[in-house]
Amino acid sequence: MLGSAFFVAPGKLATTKHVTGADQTNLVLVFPRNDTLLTYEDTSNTQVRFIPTKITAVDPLRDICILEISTGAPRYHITGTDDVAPGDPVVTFGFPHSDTGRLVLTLQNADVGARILIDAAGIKSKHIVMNTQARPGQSGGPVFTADASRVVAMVIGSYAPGGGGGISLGGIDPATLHQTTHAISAEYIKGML
Amino acid sequence: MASDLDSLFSDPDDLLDALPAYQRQSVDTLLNSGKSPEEVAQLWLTTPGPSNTFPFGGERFASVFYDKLLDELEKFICDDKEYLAERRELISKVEAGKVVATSFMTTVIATHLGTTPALLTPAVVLILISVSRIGRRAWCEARAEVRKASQDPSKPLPPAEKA
Repeated sequence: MLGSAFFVAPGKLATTKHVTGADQTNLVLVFPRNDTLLTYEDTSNTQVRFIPTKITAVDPLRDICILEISTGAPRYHITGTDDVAPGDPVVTFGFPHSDTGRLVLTLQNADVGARILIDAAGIKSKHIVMNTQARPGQSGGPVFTADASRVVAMVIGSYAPGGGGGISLGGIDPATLHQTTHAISAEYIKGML
Repeated sequence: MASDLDSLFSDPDDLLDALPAYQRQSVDTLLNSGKSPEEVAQLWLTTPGPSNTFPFGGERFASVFYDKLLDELEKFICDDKEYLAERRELISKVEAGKVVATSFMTTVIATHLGTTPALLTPAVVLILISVSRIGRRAWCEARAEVRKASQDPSKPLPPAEKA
């Protein structure tokens, strides 16, 4: 498993483009094993429930991908990063370390550290900096307001000069070991639905 | 048959109507900044997302799609035998409109490349605009020259095409 995703409309989920890649052959969504975070997840359980999916919209400049399945709907509103200011608490869900086979839906609390514009080939997009350390598998995770009523952003990665990838120690790029996590405004997801 | 295809390349900017609003907006911004359609097509397929950001999970963006896309478009619009049946169907769809024809061509090529039409459409549209400005026959000849030169290292490559 490569990343996280969340419902953004009936039958539609958002994730990052770097999670799905360009090839949708055999692309599947794996569902969490439990319906609630209160249940103890058995980390030795390797069985998963999955459903085939296809890509319906892609924005590679903003690293957003929309997936379609035949079930499910969001129980929250999709807004954007204008909804949160530096200092506001936010909550993110995802599957950290899922690249190594760990499948534990994990909640992380963080504060908004900054509002920033990030360029991609001349297109600037709204992002927030979350003051938390994210790990592989969390890309595509939703960033909620503290009351979990609105998704304001989606986790895309960690700040790294030049995009990182210079060296790897035990599968970890040391340039990503800090608490500057980038999340793109959910308003761009709304525009793709 | 080839001349029927040429109507796809009249008024090339109409091809941009094939793009959904969220893609059209970015493509227009990049074109208005002075970049050529080919440059924008290449950026669309090769930009590794937001700058200075290390993606958590998945794969880094690959740039091979752009070259493969050019190869497949060449086969499609330069009378190669590989897409004979599809080209016939394309010509019938040109009459239904450029958006329909472009969507058909993109779907066929995306299937061949193992990717999604949603990603490929802007690049296809932009390359077709570039072909329109150069002229289909001139573009096909230039592509053939590039291929021939790449097979014979003693010959220099022709100057790069620029719309």
